[in-house]
Amino acid sequence: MQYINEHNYESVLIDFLEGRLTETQAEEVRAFLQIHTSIAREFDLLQSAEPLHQTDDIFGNKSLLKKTINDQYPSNSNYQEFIIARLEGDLTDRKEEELNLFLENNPEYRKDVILFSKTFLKPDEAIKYHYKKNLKKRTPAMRKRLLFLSYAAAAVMLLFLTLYLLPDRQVNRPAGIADNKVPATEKTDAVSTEKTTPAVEEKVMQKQQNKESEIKKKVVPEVKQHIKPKIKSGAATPKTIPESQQQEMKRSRIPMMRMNRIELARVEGGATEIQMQPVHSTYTILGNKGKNSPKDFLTLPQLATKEIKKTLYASNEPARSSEKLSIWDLAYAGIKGINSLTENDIKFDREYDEKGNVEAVAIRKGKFEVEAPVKK
Amino acid sequence: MTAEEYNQSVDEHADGIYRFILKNIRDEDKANDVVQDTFEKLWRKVDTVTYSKVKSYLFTTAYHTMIDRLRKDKRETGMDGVEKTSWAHTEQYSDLKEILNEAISRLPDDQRSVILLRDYEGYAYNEISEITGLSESQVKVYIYRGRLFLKNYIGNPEQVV
Repeated sequence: MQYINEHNYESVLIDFLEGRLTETQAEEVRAFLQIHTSIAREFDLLQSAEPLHQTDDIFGNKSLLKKTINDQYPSNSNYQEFIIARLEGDLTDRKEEELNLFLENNPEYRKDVILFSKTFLKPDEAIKYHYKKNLKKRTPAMRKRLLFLSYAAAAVMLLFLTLYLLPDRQVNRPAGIADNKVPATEKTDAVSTEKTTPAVEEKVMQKQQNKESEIKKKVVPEVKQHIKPKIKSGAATPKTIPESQQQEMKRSRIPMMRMNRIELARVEGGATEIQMQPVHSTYTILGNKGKNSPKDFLTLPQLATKEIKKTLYASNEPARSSEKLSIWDLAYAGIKGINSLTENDIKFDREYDEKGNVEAVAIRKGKFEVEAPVKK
Repeated sequence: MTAEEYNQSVDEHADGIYRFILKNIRDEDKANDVVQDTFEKLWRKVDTVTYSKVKSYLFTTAYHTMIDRLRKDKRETGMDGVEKTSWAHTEQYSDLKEILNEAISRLPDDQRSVILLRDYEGYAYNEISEITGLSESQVKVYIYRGRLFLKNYIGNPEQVV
């Protein structure tokens, strides 16, 4: 059966014109048009006809035709619309008055006002999106900044470790080393402190005090002479302090000790290395009031270490090594920090040998436990 | 918009968008997905979207992402065309919030979305129209119908203690 014939050619030609036919069907249509010339002429006319386009003419006064709630009066049929409009803040003052009047005349509708007012929702602030962190992005600049911060933190940590973990070792100064800039007396002091026996240290202090008092004796009269002419007669005279009071003042002074200097020591082969002297800081604080023995002095790092350990082990086991902060103390502090941040109860336990060295460490959290021996 | 502003937008708007989507589709996993998709789309257009328009952009994107998901789910489950407006509340509830949550879940999608945008985010009719792609008058009609439904669902004020 032919796809196109004299009875259906009109609809087939329209499909052909609109490109809805397959290639075979289109071929058949072309053959049909060659045979039926009158229909072919009709098809040419159809092809020349331009399709109708939607015009751009619009009706510009639509707004005049529109009706809003403010163009109406409250009635039994639209009062709900009025109530909602009032609650949404869409009513003019005049319309609001009209609505109030309507409600006064129709009190049975007042409950609707209450009900509509209850339909306004409030956001549930308890609902939070918990994965904000995953949504955030880092640009190369931000990464750089983070890297810089990490380096800064690492540097601070390193400084901290250097400060607190430096061994409080004594310098074994090789014989024959001399510091030309240091006066002979001070040199003797420096050497003498190397052995840090209490008797020697006391001696050093005594010398120091003597030297200071000698300087005072020399300087004070000179100052007095210099000032004297400027003081008018009858002005305030210097007050003499009774000897007993002076003794008392001397006793109550906080004894201080000078910082031992960092000295350059020549090592074998001619190279020079910086050797740290025992860290009695610039002016150290007396640990035990009333006694002037150098044993009672604490260096600042020692004091800081003591305080940190006191804070760390306030309620737990006492620190075994009281002199230095060990890496295990830092680990313990870290675990404590994590616990306080995450509200967890992770335990960090250590086992000690007879000498007080850490033998094994264990991290415990509930039933979970990891234990590892410490390499010497 | 800079990356910092983008991250700030996450802090400022992620909760609101999540809340809006969750109330609409009532599925935490899907709501999470929509929020994630929305911010991914924003990040792809971070150079073209300005910080002042970001909230509107986010809600528009979230709304359309949600609509796409709902359509997809409906096609898969064949649940389209369920008449929801004929529900009426008859039980005694002790908490109005509970009733409203129930009522909101029974609202048609369009009405629920416009009411949530209006009440949760305080958007004006024209802003809701921009976000949803509805005309302003359609928005007003949906809000009116939605409130009427909620009011009828609550029932008598005496029922709400």
